[in-house]
Amino acid sequence: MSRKDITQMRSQVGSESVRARFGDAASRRNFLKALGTAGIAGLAGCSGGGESYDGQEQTTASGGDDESTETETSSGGDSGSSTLRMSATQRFGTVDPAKGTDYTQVLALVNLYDPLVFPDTEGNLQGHLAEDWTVSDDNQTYTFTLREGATFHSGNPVTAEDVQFSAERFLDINQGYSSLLGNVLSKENVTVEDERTVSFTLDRVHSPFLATLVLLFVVDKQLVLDNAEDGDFGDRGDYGQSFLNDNDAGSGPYELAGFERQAQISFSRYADYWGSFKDGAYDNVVVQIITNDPTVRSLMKTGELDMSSQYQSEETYEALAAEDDIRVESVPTVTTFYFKINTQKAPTDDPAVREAMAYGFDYETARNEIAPGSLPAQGPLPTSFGVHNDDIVQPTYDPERARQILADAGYEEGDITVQNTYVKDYGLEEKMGLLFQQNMDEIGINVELNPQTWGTMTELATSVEGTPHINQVFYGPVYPSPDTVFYNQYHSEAASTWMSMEHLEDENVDALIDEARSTVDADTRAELYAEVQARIANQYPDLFIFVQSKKHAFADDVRGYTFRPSMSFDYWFPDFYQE
Amino acid sequence: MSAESASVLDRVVSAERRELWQRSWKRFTSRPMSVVGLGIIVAIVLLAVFAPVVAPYPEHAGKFTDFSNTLQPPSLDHPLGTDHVGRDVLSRILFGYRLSLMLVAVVLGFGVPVGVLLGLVAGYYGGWTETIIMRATDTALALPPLVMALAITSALEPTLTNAMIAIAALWWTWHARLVQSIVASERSEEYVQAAKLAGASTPHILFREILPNTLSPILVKVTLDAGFVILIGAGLSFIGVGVQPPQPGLGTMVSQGTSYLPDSWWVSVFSGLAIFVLVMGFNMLGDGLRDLFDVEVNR
Repeated sequence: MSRKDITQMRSQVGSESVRARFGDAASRRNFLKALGTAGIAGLAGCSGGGESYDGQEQTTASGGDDESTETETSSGGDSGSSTLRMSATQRFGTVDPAKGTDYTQVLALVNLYDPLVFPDTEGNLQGHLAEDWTVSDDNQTYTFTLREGATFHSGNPVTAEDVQFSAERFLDINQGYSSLLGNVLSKENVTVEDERTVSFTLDRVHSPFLATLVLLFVVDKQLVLDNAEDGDFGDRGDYGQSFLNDNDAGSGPYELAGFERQAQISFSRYADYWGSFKDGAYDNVVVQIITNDPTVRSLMKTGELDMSSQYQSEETYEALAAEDDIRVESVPTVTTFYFKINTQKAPTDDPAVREAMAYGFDYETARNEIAPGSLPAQGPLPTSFGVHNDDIVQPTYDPERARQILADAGYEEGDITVQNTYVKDYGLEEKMGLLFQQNMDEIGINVELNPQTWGTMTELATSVEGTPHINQVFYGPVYPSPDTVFYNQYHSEAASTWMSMEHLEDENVDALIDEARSTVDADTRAELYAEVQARIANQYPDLFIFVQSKKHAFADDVRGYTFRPSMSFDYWFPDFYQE
Repeated sequence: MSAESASVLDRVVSAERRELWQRSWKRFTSRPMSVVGLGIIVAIVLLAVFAPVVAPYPEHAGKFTDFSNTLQPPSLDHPLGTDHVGRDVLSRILFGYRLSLMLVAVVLGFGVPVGVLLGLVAGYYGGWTETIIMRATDTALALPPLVMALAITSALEPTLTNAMIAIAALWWTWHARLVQSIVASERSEEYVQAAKLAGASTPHILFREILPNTLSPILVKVTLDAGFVILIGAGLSFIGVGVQPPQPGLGTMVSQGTSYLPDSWWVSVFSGLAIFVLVMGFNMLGDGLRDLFDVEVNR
């Protein structure tokens, strides 16, 4: 999710669309016109193959009118329409709201769909499609009142029935993040009270429930059922899975305007959106998939790209910051960069070995030279969380001490060999690996560097034996609650995913996390969270290297990027505007 | 035949041989291209063998980083600049040559003897033996070495050893073909018939009579092959197979350097040039040898 499979795909931008998009105003209008009408089917046909062709035409039929109207307006108007062109480092695997997990997929979903609640810049939940909600006295039933006047891109109004359908679809398909809800909610317990009221009754008290709802995107029941094909879900067919794989059925601020899975995805502003846009918000957004830094650099310099991804190399940011009309912004995030240590496999099953590693690593160099601008980490939870435990002792670089710990535990130089795995071709992680290898050599631990693709890493994570000793992973909240940091990484129930490559098994940690989940009182929960942080940190299941500062390069007229502490919610396009 | 007359004969033969060698050497040296090629290869082999002594920073080929000194342009301290973790590019190129040359030695050291042996047997016996060996060769020829190496290294571990095995496992095919075609025509030559009549054993005929007559084309092929093997090795390490960090693979260096183009051009450009010079050296030498032996055959 926050750390990506850097695919080998090269971005291939058709020369014609480049000319259309980047040329003079007249040809830009032609391009938009093309987007609004038959062009979509053509573009999708290039990448999606035959199966997506039919579905794509249906999108055109349902959403095309608005788009062409908009295009007419802009070509008749004085200013023309504005387009934000940004880059991403990996493809958009799907735009199905029940399936998206990684940062590009969620980026698309956040803009195409609306959840009931939405995180603000502090991570507090604000009403979104839900205007208001109440929680029952036993803290198990949540009743939401929907906003009036919200409509899907098809023109259908957003009703309680759509919310119920979306929850059922999410739970039935059982992919993506559905287990977040599935653990505590069965679909019979989502009930429609009236057209604008829907309630969720949980199996037990679950304090992170509201926060996880940011990942329940509401789909247009009517449109989905109209486009459902034969499938495993009875009268609901395939639940519209093949349709939603590359079409949108949302009510979000932007509509899907074009989708070439391997190359680019484009969005156009939804004119009847219930919410507000910033003044000067973009009419269109195009996200191009560009995996190599030199391309990003040259496109930014020639003005053919307005915004870079967050995963450019430090050298790229430096080179771009030196340009007159480009600025690089850095924002602190709540994503931590971990060296996840396999705690169940020799020799790293020995806490002494893990402790020695923690004291043998040069955090300062990592932070200042390899990831400048990043913040110090202190334990598993980023310090910006209100419930962070400030008493945790964060190890510092002390090779003497590290050597002593190993000697005390009876190890001699050369006894220990560990494997360090990271994402192949990702410069920052390669540098981290080389630094770690050098540092460990100083304290007598032999490190083998073993770069893999992100896909392979996620596969290795599924078994204790397969998981390498050290795994470099970025992990940040996928919903705005500290629970996401503890449960997904350290609870033994959540073991064997890339998020939990520590394979930590500690009953006390499990019990504390469970207790926090079923505790409603915020102060008690904070105490439990503080304790679980200390328990985790004391076992050295990770090297907590740093808390990431996200960097993007922007063309000077691009404004409005706003950080939100939940994955990809900071790419909410209505925030962005052209100065 | 008395011992004395035998030794006289030997002397005549060896005098003739010496003269032949002298003439060949003269002809070889009369071509500046081939001399330059030989010079390049000798120089690079020496540099690679003595890399720990001649490299300005031998420790930079191993577990070393210096983040205060990254991507420095060429200077007196670092004649070819430094890379993205502050390592001296020149030192890493010299150690990178070791890996490239080792790959050549292993692949050709295994592939050539096997190929030659199979070619000799197939060409000499003909019939079913030939059919079996040559069809197996054709089959193996259908697999591109680069693809085979990718397949093997992704099935096993992407280590240098596995990459070497993969390439070596396919490299014998061309040599088997080459030798088989020569032997097939040589076996009916009079000198082979004479040896047979004199009662010479099959191994003697194969290795003492026929093999020497196939040596020159093999030598030319080996020299030209060396360049190909280096390129395949560089190609593999460019895509991240075969060289594990922090080992300095020339292809890996080119590939990593591309992230820092065009501002920090020296990493990619110099390691690319290093591959170019070595392959060029082998090709120039190979061409020289081929011309040399062609003339020999024509006379």
